[in-house]
Amino acid sequence: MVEKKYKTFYDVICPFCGTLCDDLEIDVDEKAQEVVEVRNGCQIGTRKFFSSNPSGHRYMTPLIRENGSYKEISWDEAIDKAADILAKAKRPLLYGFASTECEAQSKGVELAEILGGILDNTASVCHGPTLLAEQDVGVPTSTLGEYKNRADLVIFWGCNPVHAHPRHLGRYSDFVRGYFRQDGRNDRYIIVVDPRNTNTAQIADLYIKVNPNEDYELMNAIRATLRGVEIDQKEVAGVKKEDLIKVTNIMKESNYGVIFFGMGLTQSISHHRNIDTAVCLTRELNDHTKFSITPMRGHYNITGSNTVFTWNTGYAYSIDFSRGYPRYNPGEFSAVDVLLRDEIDASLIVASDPASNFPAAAVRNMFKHPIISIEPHHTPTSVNADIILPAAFAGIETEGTAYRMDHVPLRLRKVKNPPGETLPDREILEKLIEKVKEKKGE
Amino acid sequence: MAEIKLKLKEQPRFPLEAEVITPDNFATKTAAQIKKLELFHGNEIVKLGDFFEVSGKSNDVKDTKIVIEGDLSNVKRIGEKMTGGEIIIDGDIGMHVGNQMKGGKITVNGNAGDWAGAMLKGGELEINGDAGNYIGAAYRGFWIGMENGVIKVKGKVGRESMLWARSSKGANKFPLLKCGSAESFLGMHNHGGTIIVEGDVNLYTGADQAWGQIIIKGKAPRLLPSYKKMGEISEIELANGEKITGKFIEYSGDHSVKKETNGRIYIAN
Repeated sequence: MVEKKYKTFYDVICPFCGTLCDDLEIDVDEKAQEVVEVRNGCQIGTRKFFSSNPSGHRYMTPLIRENGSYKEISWDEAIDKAADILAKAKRPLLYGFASTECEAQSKGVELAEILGGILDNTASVCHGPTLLAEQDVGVPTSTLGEYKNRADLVIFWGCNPVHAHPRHLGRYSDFVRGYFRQDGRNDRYIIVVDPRNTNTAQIADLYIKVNPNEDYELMNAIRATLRGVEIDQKEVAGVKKEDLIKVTNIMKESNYGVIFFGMGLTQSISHHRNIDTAVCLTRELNDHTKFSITPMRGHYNITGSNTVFTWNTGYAYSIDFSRGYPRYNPGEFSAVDVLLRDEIDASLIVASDPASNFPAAAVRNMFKHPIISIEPHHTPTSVNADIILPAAFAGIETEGTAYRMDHVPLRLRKVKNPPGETLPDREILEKLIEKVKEKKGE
Repeated sequence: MAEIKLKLKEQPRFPLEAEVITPDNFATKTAAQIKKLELFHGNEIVKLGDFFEVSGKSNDVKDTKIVIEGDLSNVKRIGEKMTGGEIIIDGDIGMHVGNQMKGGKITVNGNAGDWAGAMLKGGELEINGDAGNYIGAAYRGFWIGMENGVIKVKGKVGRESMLWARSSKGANKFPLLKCGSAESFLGMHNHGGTIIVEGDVNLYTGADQAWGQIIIKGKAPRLLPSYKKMGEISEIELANGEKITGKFIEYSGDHSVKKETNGRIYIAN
């Protein structure tokens, strides 16, 4: 009998994108505590599991910056210094939380409340506009399983799942066989709306090339056509009137349609108003057939951070605790805006990398003030931080809960032990809360 | 009219939240009492006297005039929910000036930040400069924005101004915005608000307008496809009964909201 070299974990949840695939198989070398093989995962998810193995890119001990270079310090000292910076700050920013589990996120809310700081998650530079539109006009939505089993018309608007959510098509929206869609891909009509002929557009039945930044006009014209109004223009956003009428009819004649949209809508010029009109379009299509809409969330637990922040404070992101109670106003309290106006005096960055994603002017202002980074590996943010608190990977080295893009909570698994002195985000935040309370005399 | 003068002593490091600066809060108080009123600075509470020199005296709400000097671009919420009296601001002002005010008058002799006159319920807000985004708009998630009163902006208003404005003929409430020029999404989700633009507008004016009037005396780039041309008109009757004469082209919409609609955009011919 061959001795089993590695321990295999089945049905592991992938902590990479909002699709949260739940069928991964991971082989772990138990002695070395390293991931040796990942099956069923996509390219990106697989790499994430391998990146958790100890390497030169991972932080193993708490670090503090002194005279331009990093020095290893003990956890007690690091927590004390970090708590000191935060407790003294008059307007600290707590940002990130998208790539960690829900329990750590709720600890983040607690810390922000004690500090009287600004709390924001990465939705403010990604699907925040979706949340704004949902507050204005609601959202008719459903779970991914429902789409898999019922949808016969799938529209991808301003998103490219082939690259960003590689297994979404195979698991829920395109090639998969569903209860009422026994023939898989052949039972579904796929429309892609995008300014670029992306790889997703290349596998679609109908590709609509929309002019950049003119999605709002196109949806607006479809809505008017749907109401039986004949529009004056011969062409809208680069799409001919006949094609527009054709698309409207395809939508009306479907049995169950769904719109998946990405940052092509939320981060182009009309921002949340794109989603506003997309939701109105979905609602109006329900006069004719069944239609739903779902955002393609990026980070695996960004939906969870919105949910956790909401059940704690009433608001999904851009929350200000400076008066002791939560207030919400994206544009006023959102991370990029407070940084551009240079309103903060310290920042705690948890499981995210604003230095790679924020405008340069905002990043420059962030680097002016002390930064504490809770992070497993080197990022452009962490290499500029004053104190680095090394974290374990949630979903690989620690358990937790994460929300899929359709708000279905799933329990993350632990497949190996955290390396070195790394601790789960939750425990680091708990230590910080305790120390900050002590320093504030509570 | 009793006059109180405030002068900003030093620039606040963090935004200073000064919703206490209203005639309602200052009425019948001495300068010494006013100095003790509380402002919010970061996560600390400070005294008004820490940041402002205060002189003069007040009277009843209606008889109180507050004159503020200095660069107030980092001071927020002045005139919040005021019901009467007058505020004159000589300089730029930060966000939320005159938000939810019910009566009285605010004059800004400078530029104003975002959300100026947000959800205005009455009174008059005059800005003799440019204004930020969301002027007279509804706050996040509210379906009723500006309900009554007048906002006059000499310069430009930013994006999504007069968002979710709501008039009521029965209650005799006609929200009105007059501005020099406007950015995109002017009068979004309009439910009866009246907007008069002396100059040009940007894209998507009157998006999702259910009913209401938007008069553009300058140029508009291209209207939304859900607007339909009706014809030429030489006189416009506003919701409050006033009339505007001149050559205009009348468009109806937004037809993506309703097939038959009372929403109108008039563009100077």
